[in-house]
Amino acid sequence: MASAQVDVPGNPTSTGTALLETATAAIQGFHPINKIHQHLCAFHFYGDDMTRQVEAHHFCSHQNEEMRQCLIYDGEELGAKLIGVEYLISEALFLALPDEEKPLWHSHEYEVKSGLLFMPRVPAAVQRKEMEQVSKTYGKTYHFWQVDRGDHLPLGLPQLMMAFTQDGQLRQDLATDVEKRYGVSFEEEREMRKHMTGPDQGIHPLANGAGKGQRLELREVDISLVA
Amino acid sequence: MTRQVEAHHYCSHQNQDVRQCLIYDSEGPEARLIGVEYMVAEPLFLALPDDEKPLWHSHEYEVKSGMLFMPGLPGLVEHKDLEQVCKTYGKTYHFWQVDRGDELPFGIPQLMMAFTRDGQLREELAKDIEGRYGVSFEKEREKREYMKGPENGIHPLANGAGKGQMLELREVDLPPVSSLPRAFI
Repeated sequence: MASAQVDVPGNPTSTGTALLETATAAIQGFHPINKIHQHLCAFHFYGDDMTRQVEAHHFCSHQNEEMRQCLIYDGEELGAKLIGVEYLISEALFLALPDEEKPLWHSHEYEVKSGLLFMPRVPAAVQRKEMEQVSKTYGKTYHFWQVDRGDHLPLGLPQLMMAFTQDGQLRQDLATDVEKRYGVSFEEEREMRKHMTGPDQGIHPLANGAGKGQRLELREVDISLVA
Repeated sequence: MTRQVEAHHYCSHQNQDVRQCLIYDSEGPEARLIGVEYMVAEPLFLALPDDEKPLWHSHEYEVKSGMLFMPGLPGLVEHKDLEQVCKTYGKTYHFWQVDRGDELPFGIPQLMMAFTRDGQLREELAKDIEGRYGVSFEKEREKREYMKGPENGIHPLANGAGKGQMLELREVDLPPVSSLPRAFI
């Protein structure tokens, strides 16, 4: 994968653990997980530093027609690391958000129309309908594991992530690497997706960090104990 | 600490010592993804930088008190794993504050902590779970008395180093990509 190959420290999974997982898989229910039905590949950058860019594999489930919740991994193999989450909402839901909430969300129009956001191995004709919809949505993404800087564990604070909004932002090497591995051509997809439109009301000016960088910081406070 | 939430974790092992978990507010298909938790074995926690340690919490109390459990699993099977969890440290963020009625994940992530002694967890939350899952925390507490926490004791820097930890959002300048010198690997 394009991100640094980080090894997670620790001992290999023991037989005991493997056996336990066989038991739990058989006995327990996994409804929320079983709803995940879609894999999207895209790129994010850190909300306070556009030069730091990451390939992001989203595994999504629909809460309803207007809202999806996605898990983000750094790859699609068994050992992929959970690096973040993303929520996708329809334009209508976005417009109803309080104004101070809007900057935390990013638009998807450019990602979709440029071809950068795609569903691996799904025939282009099949995924087009889906992409038409995603093009009009807004997303909110946090990452917790900064694999791009070689972290072996999820260190530090959550990072608010943003999506690209125009040509010239995404690093060429990251794009080419994905094109090669998935046998796709962003150029060709761009041609095919020319007809797609973004949000009906246009991209809201407060979205995408309201044009500024956004960074999370930690503050120590007095903890109010349970009365 | 007055805001407390029921958290359903769905976990996978990266290896024997590291787990990554998705947290939902219930176990049904309509469950909302409200957070994530990473769990690491004690040696890995001890190796973390000192400024990282406060973001992690210990699990000893949660396990020994009975309030952390695996729904549907026979006690003996469950205990084998809990003996291990008892010695781990976890790092948890929630993004969807369902306890205050948010319809969507508003705001910024919240660093979450786990309980570390009696008297912290709200009684009605505990009773509700016991009722729904047919478990008794009291009985479990007795059965789990033999379990031990981290070999080196709970590290003083864990659990927020005893302080509250709050995340805040700050606006910064975002230079466009082209304005920075780039090194190609």
